[in-house]
Amino acid sequence: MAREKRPDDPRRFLDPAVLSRVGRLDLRARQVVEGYLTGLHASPFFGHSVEFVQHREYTPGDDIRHLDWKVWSKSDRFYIKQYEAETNLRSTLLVDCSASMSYGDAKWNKREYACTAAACLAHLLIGQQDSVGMMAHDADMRQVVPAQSSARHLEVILGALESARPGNATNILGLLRRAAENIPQRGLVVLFSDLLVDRPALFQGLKMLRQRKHDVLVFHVLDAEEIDFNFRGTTRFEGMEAPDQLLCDPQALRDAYKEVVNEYLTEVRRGCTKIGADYLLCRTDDPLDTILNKYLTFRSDPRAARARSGSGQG
Amino acid sequence: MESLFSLFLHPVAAIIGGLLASLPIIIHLIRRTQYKRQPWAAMEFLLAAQRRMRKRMVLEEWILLALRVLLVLLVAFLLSRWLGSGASGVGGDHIVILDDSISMADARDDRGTRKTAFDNATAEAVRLARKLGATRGIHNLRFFLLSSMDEPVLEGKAGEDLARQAEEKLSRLRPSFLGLDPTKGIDVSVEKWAAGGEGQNSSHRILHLLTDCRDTDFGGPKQEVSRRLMTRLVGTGASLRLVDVSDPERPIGSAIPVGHDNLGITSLTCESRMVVEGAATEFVATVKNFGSSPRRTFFHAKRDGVEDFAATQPVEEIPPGQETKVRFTLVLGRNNSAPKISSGDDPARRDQERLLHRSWIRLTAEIDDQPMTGLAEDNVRDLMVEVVNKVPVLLIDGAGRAGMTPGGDSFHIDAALSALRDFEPEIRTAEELPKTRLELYPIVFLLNVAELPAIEVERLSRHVAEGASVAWFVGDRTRPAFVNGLFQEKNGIFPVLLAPKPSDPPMPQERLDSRLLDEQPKILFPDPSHPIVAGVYPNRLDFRFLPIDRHWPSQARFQWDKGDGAVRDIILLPNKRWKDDSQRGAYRDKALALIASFPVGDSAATEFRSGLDAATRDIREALLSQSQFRLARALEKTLEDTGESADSKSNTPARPGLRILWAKPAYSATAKALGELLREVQFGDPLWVERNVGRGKVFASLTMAGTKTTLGAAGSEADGWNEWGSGSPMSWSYAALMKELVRHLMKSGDDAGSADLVGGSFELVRDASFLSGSVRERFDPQEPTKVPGLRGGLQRLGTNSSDAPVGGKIKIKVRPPAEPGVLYLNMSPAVVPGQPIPGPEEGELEAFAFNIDAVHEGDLRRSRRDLLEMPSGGPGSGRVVLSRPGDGHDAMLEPPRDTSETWWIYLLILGVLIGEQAMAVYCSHHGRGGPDGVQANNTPGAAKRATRAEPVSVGGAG
Repeated sequence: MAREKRPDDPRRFLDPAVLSRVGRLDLRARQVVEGYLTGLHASPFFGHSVEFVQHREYTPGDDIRHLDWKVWSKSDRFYIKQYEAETNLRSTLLVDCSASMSYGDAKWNKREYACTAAACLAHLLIGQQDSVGMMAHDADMRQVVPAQSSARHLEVILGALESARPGNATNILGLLRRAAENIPQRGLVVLFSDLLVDRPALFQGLKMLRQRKHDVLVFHVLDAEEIDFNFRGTTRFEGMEAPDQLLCDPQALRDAYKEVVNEYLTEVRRGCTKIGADYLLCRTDDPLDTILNKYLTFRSDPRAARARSGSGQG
Repeated sequence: MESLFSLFLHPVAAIIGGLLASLPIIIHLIRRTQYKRQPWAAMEFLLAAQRRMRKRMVLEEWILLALRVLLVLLVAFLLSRWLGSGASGVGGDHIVILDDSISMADARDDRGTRKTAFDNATAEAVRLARKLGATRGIHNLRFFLLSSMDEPVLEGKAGEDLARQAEEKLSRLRPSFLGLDPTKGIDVSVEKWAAGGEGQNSSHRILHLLTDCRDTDFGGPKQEVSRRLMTRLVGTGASLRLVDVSDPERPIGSAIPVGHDNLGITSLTCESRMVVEGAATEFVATVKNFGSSPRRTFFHAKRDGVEDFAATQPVEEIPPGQETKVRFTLVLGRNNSAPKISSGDDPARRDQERLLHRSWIRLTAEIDDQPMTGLAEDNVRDLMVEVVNKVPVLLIDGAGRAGMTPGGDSFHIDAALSALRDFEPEIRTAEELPKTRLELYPIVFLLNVAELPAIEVERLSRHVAEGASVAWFVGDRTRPAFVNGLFQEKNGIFPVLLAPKPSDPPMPQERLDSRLLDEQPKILFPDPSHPIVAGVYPNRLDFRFLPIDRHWPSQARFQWDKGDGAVRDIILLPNKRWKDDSQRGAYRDKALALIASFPVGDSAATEFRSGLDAATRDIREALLSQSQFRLARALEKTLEDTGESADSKSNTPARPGLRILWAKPAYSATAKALGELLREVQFGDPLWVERNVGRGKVFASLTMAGTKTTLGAAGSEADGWNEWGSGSPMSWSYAALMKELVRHLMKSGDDAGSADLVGGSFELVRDASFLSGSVRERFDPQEPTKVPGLRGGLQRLGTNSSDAPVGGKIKIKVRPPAEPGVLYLNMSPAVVPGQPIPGPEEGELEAFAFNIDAVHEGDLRRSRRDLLEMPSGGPGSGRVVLSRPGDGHDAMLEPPRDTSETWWIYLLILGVLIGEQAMAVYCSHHGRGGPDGVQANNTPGAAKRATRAEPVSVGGAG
C-alpha cells in the first residue's frame, strides 16, 4: 500500500493495488485529441496509417511521398492519398493543493488521495504512450509539469506532486483560466479537487476548458466526515482556509449539514454535467482502485462514451 | 404552604435552593468551556447549517434548560420538607389530654387487680414525657385532664424530670364520674393554641389525646362533629395523635377492635312522682347489654341501703346491643313522722306542715356484672322517691267558692278524688294560688280559670318543667286570649289553641233529641290503649247517653297540632252532620271509590263476597243519610265485621268476617284506606288532649268539669255544658276517668323519675316568700363497695347561702356533685307570722339522685379506624394519626405535611423527568440518523479523527 511507504517518498502515490486493478485498462479520450504519436486516440490530423480517408489534388508543397501514382497513371493527374492519423493523448492533471485538501487523516487525507489518483492516472497514461502534464495549485500555480510521454516523465510528475504542499485557499477560476491558456492543444484535463470553492467561478472555469475542446474530467475528492459529519460532543470547528470558527454540538447540526452538503453535491454534479465535464465523487474512505476501475471501465464503454459525448456537447 | 414558604425564605434554604436551581446552567456553562477543536475545511456548509438550524436549536436548548431547572426546583421542593424543624430537632409544643370520663374506668383483670384504661393513659403520658425528652429539640408538654381543661395538671419541658413528676402526679389521678366528650378537648386545644399567639412553633403543635376511642364519641351522630373538629385542628397546622388506651390493645390493621362486654342500668323510674305510703308501686329499671354477646345477670334493689328481696330477680338473657326492662313492685313506707294536718288549718300552715315532713326514700338498683372487667360504675343507679300518706292534688277553681258548690267544677272533681284512697284534693281559689307551695302538688287542676297573673303562670311553667302536671278544664269563664297565650308551641302550659268563643248551647228540641233519639256516642276514644280511657273503652257505645252540650272548639288543628305526636288526643267529639253538600259530596266520592276497590271479583275473596256486598249496601245507604255517624258506623262495621254463624232456621250459611279479609296482606291497603276514611268521617273537635312539657304534662278538657255554669246570674243546670258529673246515665264514668286521669298525670312526662346526671348543671328555683334563704347541703355518694378502686365516702358539702331573692324567686345554686350519689338540700322556711319559729334542724327537705351517664358511657364499643385518622390536607396542614400506647411518637415528629407529600408532585416530577429525558435524547440526536445511519465514531476513520480532535479549554493552546 502506498500509505505504508515513507511519507516523503513520491512513489507512494503509485498504489500497487490500484495499478494492478487499472493497469489493464485504457484511459481513452472520449473525443479526438491532437497528438503525434500513434496511440489509442483519434487525431484531427491526417497521417501515416492504414486507415485510408480520401484523395485530394496535389498542391505544391505537399510531400510527394503521398502521391498516389496509381491514380496518376490512370488519370494523369496528381492526387495525394490521405490516411487517418492515430495520435497520442495530451493529458493535464490539475491537482488542488489548497489548505482544505489537507483535511483528513495525516496519512490519508484528501491531498494524498488526490495525488495518488493523479499518479495512478499518470502512470496509466504514460503506459499507453500518452503525454501527461501536471499542474498543482492553490491560490496560485505551485507546480507546472509540461506534458510528456516518456517513462522518466512519471518520476517528474511524482516529484512535483510530492513537492506541492498544501497552502492557501483555492483560486479556482484563475487556475482553470491559466490551465486553459497554457494547454495549447486540446486534450484531457483532469481536475483533482475538493471543490470547496465558489461554484460560479468553478463552472466558469470548467466552461472555459470545454470551450477550448478539452475533455474535462473532475475528480471531486471529499473526506467521509465532510459528507457524513459524524462528530460528537461540543466541538469548535475552525476554518482551514478562512478564519471562521463555530462552537456547536455537531449532532444538533448534522441533519442540516448533510442537507446543505447534499444540495452542494447536487449543484456541482448538475453543473459539471451541464458543462459536459465528467464528474466523479470520491470519498476518501472509498477504495481508489475500485473507483478508478469502475470509472475507466465505464469510460471505455462506447455506448456510454457516445451518450456522454452527446450530452457533453450539448 | 405558609411553613413551606418560610422554609424557602430561610437564608440557608434560599441559597441552597438557588444553587440547586442554577445547577443545570452552571453545568451548561462548564460544558461550554470543555470542547474539542476541529480544523474544518467545509466551514461554508457548517455555517450554512448553523444558520439554518439556529432558531430551532436555540428553542430546543431553552426548553431543555427550562425542564432541567424545573426538575431541580421540584426536587428541591421535595427535599425542602427535611429542612423543617422536626428532622433538624427544633422541637414542638405538645398538649396531652387525658380523657378522664367514666368510660375510662373500663378495666381489665391484671393479675388480680383492676387496671383501667385511665391507668394506660397515665402510663402513656409518662412514657411520652420521657421519650420526647430523648429526642432532639425542645418539646414543651402540657398535661390536661379532659374534665378540667382550664389549667394544666402538669407542664414543662420533656425530659426525665418531667417524666418523674408526671409519674408521681398522674398516677394519683382517677377517672371522674363524668360523661365527657373527648372531641371537646380538640376544640379547646385549638383555642389554647390560638390564644398562645404566633410565638409558638406552628409546625410542631401536636395534641396527644389519650382516650378510649369509643364509637359513641367518634362515630354515629358524633361522627360529623368529630371530623369537623379534627379538620379544624389540622387546618391550623397542628396534628392530632389519638392514642387508643382501651384494652385489649388495638391490633394493627384492625378496622374495628373488640372491646369489653358491659352491662349497665341506663334508667330507673317510678310509675308516679310520689309514692303513697303502703301502696304497691311499680318501678322499672332498664338494663342494657352493650357487649357483643348475649348476657344474663341478676337484679337487686335496695331501700335506703337495705336490700329489698321483693325486687330481687334474675334478668333474662339480653341479646347484644339490646336492653330489657326489669319491673319490680315495692310497698314503701315513710321514714319519718307524718304531718299533722286538719281541715281547719290555714292553707299555708297545711302546706308548710307537709313540707317540713317530707319523706324521701333512696332506692338503689344494682346488677351483678363481671367485677374485674368492663365498667363497674354503671351497674348501680339511684332514685329518690318521695313517700306521702296521700298525694295532694291542688284544685284551683276559677269560680271561687261558687265552684265548690254542687254542680261546680271543683265540687265534682273533689268528689271524684275524695273517693280515692291515694289522693287528697286541696281546693283553693285563684286568688289563693300565690300563697300555695306548688312543689307540694304533683298535679294542679285549673278549673274554669279566667286568667292568672304572669308570676303565677311562670311558677306553674317552672313547676311543670320540673315534672308536675297541670290539668285545665275550660268553662264559661275561660278567656281564649289568655290560654292561647300560654300555648307557646312546645313549652306552653296549655296544649291547644281555642276558638274565639265556645259552641252555642243546643236548642231545647235538639237537646232533647240528643238525649233520647241520637244513637251516636257523644264522645270517642281515638286511642283505645290510652291509660285514661282504656278502662271505659269497652263501654264506648254507651256514651250515646252522655251528651256534651257545649264545648270550647279548638282552632284549626294544623295551627296547634304539627302532626309530630306532641299533642295527643284522648277524647274526641264526633262529627254529627255534614256541614254542607260539598263536604258530603267529597266524602261520598271517597266512599264510592273505596267500594269500587273492594275485591268482589277476586277469586281469593270469594268466601267474603256476601260480606262485601252487605258492606257495600250499608255504606251506600249511609251515604244517603244526613248524619255523618251513619257513614262512620257503616265503615266501622265493615272494618270490624266478625261474620255470621250458620242459622239453620233461616237456612243461612255461615259467613266469615271481613276482619279476616282485611288482615290479609293483599287487602291491607284497602283496610288502611277504610280506617283513614272512618277517622275523617267520625272524629270531630278534641275534647281531652294532653302534651308533655319538660318533665311534666299539661292536660286540657275543652268542656267544663262541673254540670252548671257559675258566671253571672246563671247557675242553673240547664245552662251546664254537660251532665257528666251528675244527672246522666254515664256519670259513673266521670269518677272512673278522673281516677285514671290523676294516676296518668302522676306519671309526669317521659323522663319523669330519671335522676340528674353527674356533672350536669343544677339550679333550683324556689319562691322567696316561703324560704329564709339558708340552705344546707349534704351529699351521700353511692356505696363505695360497688365502685372498687374509686374514691368514696360521705361528702358533706356544708352550708351554703342562696342568692338574694330576685323577683320573688331564690336561685339555689349548688355545685353539682362530681360523683354519683344523693344530694339533700335542707331549706330553712321563712317565719310565718303566728306560727312557731322552725328549729335549726327543721327545714324543707328535697333530695336529688345523681347518676353517671350510663347510656353513653356504658357503651364501650370502639370506633372504626377510618374515623380516627385523617391524612394531611396539604401544605401547612396537620394530620390525625391513630396510635397505640408506646407507638407513633416518631411519626408525629416528622415535618408537617406539605405539597411535597402529595401524589401529584411526584407525578409532576416524573412527567418533567420523562420530558427532560425525551428532550435530552431529542437534542442529543440519538437515533436521528440519516439514510445512511449514524455510525458515529465506529468507523476507523472517525476513530482516528477522534484522536486528532483534542479537547481544549477556552483560551488554551489550540
